[in-house]
Amino acid sequence: MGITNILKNRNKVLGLNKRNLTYIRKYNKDKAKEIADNKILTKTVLEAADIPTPKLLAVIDDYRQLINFDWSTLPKSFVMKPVFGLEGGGIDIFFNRDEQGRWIRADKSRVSEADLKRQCIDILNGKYSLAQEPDKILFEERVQNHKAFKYYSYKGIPDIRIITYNNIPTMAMLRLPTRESEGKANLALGAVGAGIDIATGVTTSAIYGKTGGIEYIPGTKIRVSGLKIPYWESMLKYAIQAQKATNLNFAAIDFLIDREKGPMIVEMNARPGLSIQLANDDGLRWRLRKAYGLKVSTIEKGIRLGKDLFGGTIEAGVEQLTGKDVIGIVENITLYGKEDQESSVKAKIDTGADSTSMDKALAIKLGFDSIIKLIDSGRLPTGISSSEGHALEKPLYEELKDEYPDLAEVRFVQSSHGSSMRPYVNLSLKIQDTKFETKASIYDRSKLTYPIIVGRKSLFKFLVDPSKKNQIK
Amino acid sequence: MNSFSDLVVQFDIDMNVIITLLFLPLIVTIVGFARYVIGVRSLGIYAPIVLTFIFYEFGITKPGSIESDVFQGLKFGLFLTFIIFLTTVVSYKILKKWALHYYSKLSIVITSVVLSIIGVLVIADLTNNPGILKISVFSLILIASVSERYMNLFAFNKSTKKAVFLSLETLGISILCYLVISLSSLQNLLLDYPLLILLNLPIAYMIGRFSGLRLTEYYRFRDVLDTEEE
Repeated sequence: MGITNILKNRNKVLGLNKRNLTYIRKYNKDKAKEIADNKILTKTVLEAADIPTPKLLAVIDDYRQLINFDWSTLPKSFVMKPVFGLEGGGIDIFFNRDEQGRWIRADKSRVSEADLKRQCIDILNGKYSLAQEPDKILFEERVQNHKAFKYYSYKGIPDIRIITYNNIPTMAMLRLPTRESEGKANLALGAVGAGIDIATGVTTSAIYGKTGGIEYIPGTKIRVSGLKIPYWESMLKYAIQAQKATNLNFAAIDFLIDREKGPMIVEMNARPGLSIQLANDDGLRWRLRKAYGLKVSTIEKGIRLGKDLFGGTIEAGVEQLTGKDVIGIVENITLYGKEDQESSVKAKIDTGADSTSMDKALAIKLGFDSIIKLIDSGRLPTGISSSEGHALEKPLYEELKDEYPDLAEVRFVQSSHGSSMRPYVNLSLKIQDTKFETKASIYDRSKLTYPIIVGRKSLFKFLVDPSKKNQIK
Repeated sequence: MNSFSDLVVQFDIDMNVIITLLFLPLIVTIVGFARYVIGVRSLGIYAPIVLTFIFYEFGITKPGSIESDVFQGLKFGLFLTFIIFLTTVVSYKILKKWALHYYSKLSIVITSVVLSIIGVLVIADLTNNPGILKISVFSLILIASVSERYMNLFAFNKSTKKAVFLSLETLGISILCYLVISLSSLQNLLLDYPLLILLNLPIAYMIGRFSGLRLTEYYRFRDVLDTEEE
């Protein structure tokens, strides 16, 4: 850990300099950028290629059209957007219209025609466009939230971003509106960003505004990881089709999913932000390098490559991927103790957890009594800060390893249960027919449903399919 | 051949004009370095240049000489910058509530900035504090126009915190530039060998091709970077 890792990994992460100099300048031609920057043009091109996008209701080009605009042509519910807007600025969503003819927003605030005209003037003046250039206004149909996200997003609709490069989906993220972001799926305003596994369309790690990694949606007990995005396959297909249609070779493609109509592309971005790397807890640069120059003859091949190269566990390459067992979220697994004592338990497969951890009682069964004594001795500090904790990992292990030969590692762990130094042991376990060794931490899980959770670091040989969980009794 | 500084003396050019001219490319290079290598953004290129030369002008101890007092330059320069920043922000925040066109708002803001500068000058005179009075008329115009940058920043930024932060970053870069250009050894070197400014070309090219992570990005992506290879 520390400096050596950072220096070793620096070529994996995409920074602004590399993004601007190489990926935008070289691979996004001016003509393609023009399409992406103009939301009406984006729609036209996508529609011509039969890619779904929210229906365009009306456009206002200038002041004269604004004055003559017949507001009664708009339905009760619609979305208003600046045509050249950046980062979601200036977008307003209306759900209904009251008896006085005022439109109603999600937060119940009401807007009269005069208010709306004032907002339109701001947009036309270029308040939200690049370099404050004169802008246009578009009205489009409002997308209705899909029920899969019902408990995940606060007021607004989550959006899904897929970064495609060279016709290969390379990284994806789900943005969930929160109370703090006031229903907007914008990370800078405090939305939650969750990484998506390209292979399965299931969310992995997540970040919340500037506070960094989180496990649960703020203020709830809903885990961000493990959510299966509906229509994942068709979104991968549309993303590549959209890239081909617009010729934007390095693109961030934003989707909304409508309750009835399914996924639709709402925006294409020629200058993808870099936070997606934080949400996925992985760098984008190594992925772009891998996708570079590959021959992608068909859309199916693009999807296949994206899944094989970047899906599954983060580091898994193509070779490892073939022959992986598919497992569910709950599995019956076999554990082998110090003297090979076997124990079969029901385990939770948790792709949101970094490593495997087991309950104290289970650890005693497997012969790790000495570690329990270590925990009870109080020699492992709790409630310390992350920098103190990380600094303590090595010295603490050196200090304890002779006295406790079963100890494999001491690691600082921050979780919903608080921060602590956790002891790790070497453990053999068998999931389905695959037996392997891994490191597991020990702590008190007696109040939790499963005596053991199996985390990402122990899951390299598997693919997790959440829909499989019901097959296990 | 006469040395460049002899030439300057011969034609009776103010030495500080020459210094200013010779250092201009270097300042732009430093601003570029700060953005692309360190990752500190500034309010465009205009604001740091103006602020740097305001500091420089306040630091000059004797008219026509290049001797400068860094402490004095920073003291007066920062004070005046602060006054301008405060006047701009306060008057803009008051104006924001009225529906006025952008340039009309700017006109009112600049009026209050000029009034507050006059106020500062009057008070400096009354309290017998001549240091701040030495500044040239031209610099006063420049400094008043910096307030346009500040207002622009607040007008198009939703978050006040972000705007204040960006102003502070700009100030930091300007102070760095000032400290560099007031190094007397560097000044003498450039006066003796003015062609050294050509060094800016390869340096600017190198910075322009730099595609590594910016220093601040090492911090931003620390969690992604600090992972063990599996």
